[in-house]
Amino acid sequence: MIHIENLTKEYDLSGKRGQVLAADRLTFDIPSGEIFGLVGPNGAGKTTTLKMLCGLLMPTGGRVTVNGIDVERQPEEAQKHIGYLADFFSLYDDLKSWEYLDYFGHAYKMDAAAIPARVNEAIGVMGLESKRDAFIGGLSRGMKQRLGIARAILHDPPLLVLDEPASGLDPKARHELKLLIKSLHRTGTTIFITSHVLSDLEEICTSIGILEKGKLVRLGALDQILRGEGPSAGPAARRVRIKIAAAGFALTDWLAAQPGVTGVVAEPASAAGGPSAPVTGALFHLAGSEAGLAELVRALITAGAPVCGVEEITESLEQLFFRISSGEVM
Amino acid sequence: MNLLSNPELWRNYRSQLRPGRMAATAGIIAALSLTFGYAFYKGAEDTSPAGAWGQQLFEAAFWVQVLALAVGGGFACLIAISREKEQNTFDFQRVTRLSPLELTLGKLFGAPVLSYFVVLCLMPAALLGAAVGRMDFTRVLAAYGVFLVCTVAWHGLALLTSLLMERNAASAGGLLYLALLGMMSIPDSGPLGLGMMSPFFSISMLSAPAATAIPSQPIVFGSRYWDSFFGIPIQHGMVLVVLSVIFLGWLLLALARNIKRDPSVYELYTPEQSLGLAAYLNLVLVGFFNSKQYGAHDAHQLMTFLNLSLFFGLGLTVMRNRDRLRRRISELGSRASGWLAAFWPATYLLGGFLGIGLAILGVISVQFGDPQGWNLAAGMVGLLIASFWLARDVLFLQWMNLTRVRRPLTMGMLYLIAYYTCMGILLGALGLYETAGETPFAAIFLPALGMVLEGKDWEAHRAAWMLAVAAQVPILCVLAMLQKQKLQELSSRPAGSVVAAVSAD
Repeated sequence: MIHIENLTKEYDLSGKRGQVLAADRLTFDIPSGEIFGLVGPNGAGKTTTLKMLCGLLMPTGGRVTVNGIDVERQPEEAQKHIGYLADFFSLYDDLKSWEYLDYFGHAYKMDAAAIPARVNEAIGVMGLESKRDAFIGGLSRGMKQRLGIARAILHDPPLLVLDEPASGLDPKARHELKLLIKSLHRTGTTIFITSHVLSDLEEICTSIGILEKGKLVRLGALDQILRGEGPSAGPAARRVRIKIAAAGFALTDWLAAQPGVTGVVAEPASAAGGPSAPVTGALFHLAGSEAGLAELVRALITAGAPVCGVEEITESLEQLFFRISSGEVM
Repeated sequence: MNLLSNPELWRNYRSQLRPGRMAATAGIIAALSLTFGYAFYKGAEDTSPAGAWGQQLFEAAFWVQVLALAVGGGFACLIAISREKEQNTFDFQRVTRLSPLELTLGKLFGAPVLSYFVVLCLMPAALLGAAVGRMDFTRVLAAYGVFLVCTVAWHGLALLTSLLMERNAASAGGLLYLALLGMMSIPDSGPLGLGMMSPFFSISMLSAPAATAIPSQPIVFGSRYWDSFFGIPIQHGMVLVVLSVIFLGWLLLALARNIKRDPSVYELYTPEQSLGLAAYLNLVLVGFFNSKQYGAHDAHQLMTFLNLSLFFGLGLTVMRNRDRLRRRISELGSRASGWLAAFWPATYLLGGFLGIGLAILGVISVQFGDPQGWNLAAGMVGLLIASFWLARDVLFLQWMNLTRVRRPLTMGMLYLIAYYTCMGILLGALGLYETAGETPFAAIFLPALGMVLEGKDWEAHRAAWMLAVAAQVPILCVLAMLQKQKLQELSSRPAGSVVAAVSAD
């Protein structure tokens, strides 16, 4: 669905403070039917990437194709396939809700006869029936956000690009937004979304990219990323805890000597015993697949360790994001 | 592409012409029309010939119509795009499937829709007045035709200004628009045999004496009603309509090329289109030039100056900024940062300006033969110096445009003004342009002096003038070198590594 190739955007910082790479040769594909979440701290380049994807910003280099259509060379053809919602936006306050959607229906060159029904459908999906004939100027922030989303989905685009769609929404509306995104996903719509509410993204996304200073430092299926797997996850990303039944086996030394194992931390039998307490467990990072972990455990048992527990620790997206943002991992 | 079904036009119509607002506007205008009509009727009851009040009513209504559409509609166009950019609604229009021309036309006719409605509401009063006043309906129709066509062209200009305007610059844009409209409403405008170029001319068409017949000799071309195109008298109204339509075409081209683009890479015209525009404007200038008022030397000087101003403006439109150059470098590699690129847009301007300048020289030679005080060689030298002057100033501004200062072009302009002011005072204090023998040396620093070169001075100091021309070349090279440095800087990107080059599946 989306093919991004060497996408680069350079900006000048104000004054003589140099230049910044808001997108640094990003290369990745997003297949159809994904809900792809792009996360990163403020200024990481998320909105810039989204705007280049929609053809609103011209990249310094590289290209984007949507459904095989080059966004830069055939913008109007590509935009037929894209529904876009910006992070900070306004609507036309002096139009009524239905007029606003009707305008965009025509602007997207939908079949004129089908527009009224589709407008009503979009209004219904977003729960705006009671506000259909209300002037936009009189709507609350959350209602306006819903109307903005209704506009983005009006022409039934196969790709929906949402930049911080949950901002300004109350918890109920946020929940409804998640349900809407999931239902759109079920109909085959590909969704490219950014949000600072990581728990929401973790709930709805099927794949994720973490952007840091214009570079993608993580990219892949959500569950793989959270387990530390994935092609771009880097070494020693799978976090594992192993417990042994009795002290006496040099667990940490043995683990540290194994290939692919890093960051071994000893876990004493009881916290009260302090550093001198006997070690009955260890926490470490292991590069590799589940098969690699099984191999490691088998070798450990063969070496005579009384293994009584193996636990793979899955992080939440928020934990992973904070670790990456703090520079703990890259 | 049907204009009446243009969604942007309909959006403006729905926003601005709600039934309540329409009723209020129509009510106020009806009340004013009745009041004014009655006042004119009572005022003319005893003294004026029958029906005079009708003519007064028509003229008053027409005045208000012109004012409402030219000024009110112009302001609406001025904020049509800039306000949308400020409110972050413009991006949503840019991602729709509306073609750039559809979006442009929707805004051009949609933004001033309230002003059009005011004009419509005033039509009953105007028509009643015209009928009672027994006015010549052909003339009335012609006045409306000129008014509407010319106004749409002015709206196009306002819309383009709106597209290019920076945030929060609406007041400055409004003042600029008003000033330009005012200037172009002054009849008998200077060296050109052209009358006023604003919609307000249509008002004076109504009172034109024998406007349909060429007045008896002597004809003062560029007066209110008649223009001279290569010596042929043409009614100004007709000229205004033709020039407005062509000007609107150029404006629409610029708007449609840019309206859906990323603002950081706006480019009004391609270099070829810019050259075409400069050639067209020169044709207009030469064609309508009031040559009978001038001698060959003054005529050449003036036309070269006008051509220079045009190409200076053209130079600004084809200038590249850092974003565009980064993109070029990314696409073309070292070709985009080589020596040829370092001379951009000087090479292009030199070629165009010299080509058109030679054509102007040809026209002057044919029109004036071999008059006293001017010869072709002196004209050529003046043209060469003017070319280098243009090239070096634009090259300087291009270099400034690649620096990382805030508003680089404005800063560049200020530096140029400061340079020429200081240099003028300094050379004056040194007495360097008091004698014909020293002027060529002063012209190295102030090339404008070369443009006023007379035939006898050229004959007397050929070597010095040749030196003045040759001295411009190293100055150009230094400026190109500076630009080359900037191109190198832009070519060397901050280092980064490809971290993610995988598929998400």
